[in-house]
Amino acid sequence: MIDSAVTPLQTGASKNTEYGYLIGRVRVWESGLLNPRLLDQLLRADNADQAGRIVSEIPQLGEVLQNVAQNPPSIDQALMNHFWSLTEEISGHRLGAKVAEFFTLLFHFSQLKLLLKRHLAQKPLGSIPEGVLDWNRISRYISGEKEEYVPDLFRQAIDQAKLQYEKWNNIQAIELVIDRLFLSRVLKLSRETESSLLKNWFIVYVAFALLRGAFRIRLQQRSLDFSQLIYLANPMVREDDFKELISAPADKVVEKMADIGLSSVLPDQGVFQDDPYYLATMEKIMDNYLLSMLRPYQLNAFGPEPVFGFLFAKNIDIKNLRIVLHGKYFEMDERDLRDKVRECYYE
Amino acid sequence: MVDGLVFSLLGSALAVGLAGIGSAVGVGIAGETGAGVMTEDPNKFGQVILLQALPGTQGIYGLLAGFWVLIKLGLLGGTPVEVNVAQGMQIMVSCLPIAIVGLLSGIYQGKTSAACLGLIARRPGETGRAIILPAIVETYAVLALLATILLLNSIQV
Amino acid sequence: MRLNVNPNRMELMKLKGRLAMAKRGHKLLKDKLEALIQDFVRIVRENKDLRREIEAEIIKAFQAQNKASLMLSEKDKELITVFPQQKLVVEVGTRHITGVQVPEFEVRIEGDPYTYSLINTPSEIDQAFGSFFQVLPRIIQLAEAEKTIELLAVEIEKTRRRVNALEYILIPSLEETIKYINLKLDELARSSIVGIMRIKGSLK
Repeated sequence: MIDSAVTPLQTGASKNTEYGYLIGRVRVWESGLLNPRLLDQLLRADNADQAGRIVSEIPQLGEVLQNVAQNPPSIDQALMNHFWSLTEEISGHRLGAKVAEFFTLLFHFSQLKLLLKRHLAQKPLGSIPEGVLDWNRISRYISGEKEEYVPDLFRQAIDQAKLQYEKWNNIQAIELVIDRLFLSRVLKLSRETESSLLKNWFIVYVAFALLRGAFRIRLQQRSLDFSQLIYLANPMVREDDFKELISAPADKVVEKMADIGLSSVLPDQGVFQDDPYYLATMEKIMDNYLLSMLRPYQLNAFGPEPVFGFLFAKNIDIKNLRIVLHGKYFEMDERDLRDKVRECYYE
Repeated sequence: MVDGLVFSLLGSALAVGLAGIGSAVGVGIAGETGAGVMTEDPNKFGQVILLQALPGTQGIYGLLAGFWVLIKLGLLGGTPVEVNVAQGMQIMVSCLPIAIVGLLSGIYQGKTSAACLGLIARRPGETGRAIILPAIVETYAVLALLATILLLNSIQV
Repeated sequence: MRLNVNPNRMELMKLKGRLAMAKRGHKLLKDKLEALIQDFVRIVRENKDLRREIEAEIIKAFQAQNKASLMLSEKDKELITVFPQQKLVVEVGTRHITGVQVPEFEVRIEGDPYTYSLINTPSEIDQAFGSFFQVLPRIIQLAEAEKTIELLAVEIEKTRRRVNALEYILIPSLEETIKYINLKLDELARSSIVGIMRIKGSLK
């Protein structure tokens, strides 16, 4: 009742203020995000111990890594658990579920790939973390029990992946098929979301993913037919463009990227090279770009954007922490690590 | 006599009702964010309750204006004053500033409070400054109340 | 060192035969040793170049792998490696170098190195897989060369010991023994002459 009385008086979407609760929680969690100063301190640390001490003083993160053995697998496990517990907290909220769906999908699809690959490699399917989904049923479906109850999305993914694997006799087909399904779900999220920022963000995400895919296909010298497995119609990268990005010579790629309007993600003033390190720099620029799209909305008091922005920023933070902590553990050069770390959400 | 009283009471009801709605919505908005903050950090109860209560004042102002009308009409003890239609309409119009401004400023103050709760959650040291921001919205509710009271006083019954 | 033999003509004949044979064997072994050393040096030099190339290649591969692994969670790593599609086919044979049997490996890698997602993995991983893909057959080539060197070295040592044994022990001792038998025989001859002369004198 109040809601409908208030609607005409509010600017923007009517449900915006309902994100208040989530944003209140997000604001507290945000004190555990990295900032450029902290990141710089971490990069300058002389060794893994010193880096560990710096992390232990960051709110929340310190607790997450408190009793964790100082080796990469345990640190990685702890960080991932931290991220998924935050995602689950947000998913638990009526509105948060939609906001966090992108990340849940990411998690579920990679879990699904792992199960499929383990099955095809004839390895034990192993223990699967408990969650919203009944992974045991999905494992049984993968092992060939066609009558098992499985959500439609996964049934589709598993069937298509198996089909294409048999057709191409190449395990990468599975990855491409499931990645395409994931991207199609992201586009669906883009159509469903009420926020115009997130709408664009999802579209840009899909476009970036397809570009990365196209350039990697060049690097791995795959056939055009095979690369079709990952392509899906989307608002930014048309099919012709995608094909041309794969088959055109390197100097033409730059023009093509300018046509699409994404030449800004190319490092080195847009001199394209088929070089893994060049592409790695491009990946970094893409991550930074995605984060910079979200940054202007970080201080909004309402709406889904700050919640989504926080989750994505956390995701990037986990990447940065992994780079720094693992890098220090393996005594890698500070400069190499600096080349890898992404920008921070808060400046 | 009857017609005039109806208008006066309508004015009083509008002042109490609309300003009250404004406060309720505002407190609700701030409360939601406050609950979010307290879920993660229960120690902030003091600051949260302060900021949540700020948008609540519009309701009180509305109530004050409503009572002022009742007192003016002599409905609270004393002898009821006779008001004609013109006087009744005047009283009702006098009540509109606090009714309208109370409704809107309550909601906006709630939003500002919610935003400032976010600020406090991230930087606990900024509590003092964070409270000033929603308090500035308060100014206009106070001005509206002042206008209503001055208008009411200028009406001869 | 003198051999413990009866100093008679029969033995002398035998020893002389042995000495001639030892000398012939010594020459043959010495030739073989030279040939072995020549091969050895050639293979070692080749091996050094190969090793240097492989080391450069491996460093490149590991650098790429290190950088890539910074970007990957443990689960991603499992996802990348759980289903290797490549098969390493090694055919083992032997060949002869100056009479030494050495191994010969023929290496082939079959299948596709790239088994992982295109959009969720860092591109350095392509470099890592590509480099390892190239370097693995060469590592096995290197192993082949190393084993060959080892076998040649053993053979060279064995041959050199034999040459030395012939040169410094067998041949000198044979020569000494022959000399001794000759002296002994001469002395026998002299003493029999003296005996005969004495008998002749007493007969007078």
